[in-house]
Amino acid sequence: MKQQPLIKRRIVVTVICAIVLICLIYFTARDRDRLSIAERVAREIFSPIARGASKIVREISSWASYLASIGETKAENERLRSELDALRHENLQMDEAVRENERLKVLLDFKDVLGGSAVVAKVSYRDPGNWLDSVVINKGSDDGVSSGYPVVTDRGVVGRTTSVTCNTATVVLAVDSRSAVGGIDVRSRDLVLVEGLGDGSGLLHVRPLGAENDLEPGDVIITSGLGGVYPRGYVLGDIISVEPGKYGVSKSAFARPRVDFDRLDEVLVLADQIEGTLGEMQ
Amino acid sequence: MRRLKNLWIVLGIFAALLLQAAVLPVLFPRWVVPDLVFCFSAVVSIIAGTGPGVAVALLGGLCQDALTGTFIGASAGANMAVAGMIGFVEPQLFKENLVTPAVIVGAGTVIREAIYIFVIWSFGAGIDLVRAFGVVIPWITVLNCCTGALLHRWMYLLPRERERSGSTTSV
Repeated sequence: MKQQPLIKRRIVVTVICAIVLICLIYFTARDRDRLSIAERVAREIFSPIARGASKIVREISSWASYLASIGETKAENERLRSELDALRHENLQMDEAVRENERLKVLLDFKDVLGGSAVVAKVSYRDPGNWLDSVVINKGSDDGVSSGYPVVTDRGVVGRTTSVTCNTATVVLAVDSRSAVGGIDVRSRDLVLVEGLGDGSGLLHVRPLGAENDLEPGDVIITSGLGGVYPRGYVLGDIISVEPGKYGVSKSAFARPRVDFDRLDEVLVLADQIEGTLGEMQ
Repeated sequence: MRRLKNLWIVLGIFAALLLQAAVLPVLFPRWVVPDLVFCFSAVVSIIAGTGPGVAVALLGGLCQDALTGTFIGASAGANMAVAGMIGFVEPQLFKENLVTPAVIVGAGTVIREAIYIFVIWSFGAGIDLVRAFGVVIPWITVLNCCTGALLHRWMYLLPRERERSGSTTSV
């Protein structure tokens, strides 16, 4: 008899939890300009720590591969080895610095090409789950970044910003299933819609907008500038295969982005979408 | 003592999130990442029952969702549902080996991912079901099984072994 109120209470708590969670999911399923205070605080604290942790892990893994390689040089005497270790370590650090310098230089050169203002940002961490393709960058509203800004690298489109805090912003990657970008085939001038497959293949689905179209493997797809988010002229990807549509009337294609989404480090957020328009020389 | 335990739980969730979001993707790019937050809440459920398990699942899931700002509550809901189920069968479980947590966490992972996929799909996310059930979920299940067994050993078996050896020495 005593158990009945307990069971009743559990059912009530479960139902209330379910309703609250469903409401939360409903209100956060779409892109939001403003995040709640709790979310902002969590991200502001977590982002720099995550950035530091991934930097340390990168350093350790480069050290580990270095240590694996010195197994072959056991015969060398201790003094030379320690000297060599120190020099190699120094060299590694310098190499890393040079590589970072080169990457940033490319981004800065690229930034100079753009007419509008652009913000250089670094990737802090990725989505902790396995289902959504998004990353969080270390620039936010304090640096002039808002929701809906295009994010690019010198290799092409990365994605668009969604939820922004003072010092962080979520970037929904172009390969995410929630992403759709208006594009144009450079060779045939066909207008297409480029959607993320979100299946882990890292490919994009290219759907022509007109019934008559001429897509071929090897064609380059660039942003059309018609969607209102991405400026015209940024590379979305190269078509790798073309398939006939459901009823054989039109074709659809798959494209491989030039951006390596698994190794994203530095990106550019275009704070001025219209001014950021590029020519098609890319 | 209780506060200390709560602090350990918060630190555990933080460490799990850090590993999941910033460390493992750098070490193993393109790989499926184990759901450490879920494993942690499942193991707490196995050890301590429904209440603590569901609380850890709620806190961990909300933090996990809040870090990217989309579908907040989806991970928390899925984790809580499975933690509740595990807590329900917890009194019947034999906890002195590694097989039980591995099997429970493995089965829980499949249910958790199915709930999560259903929820985010219902709210507009596109999911490739063939890849989800053919590739991603089997991999997450295997990784979570191993992680669950390791966590169980670390959080339950090792302290008990230490306790036992301590009491034998004192006798």
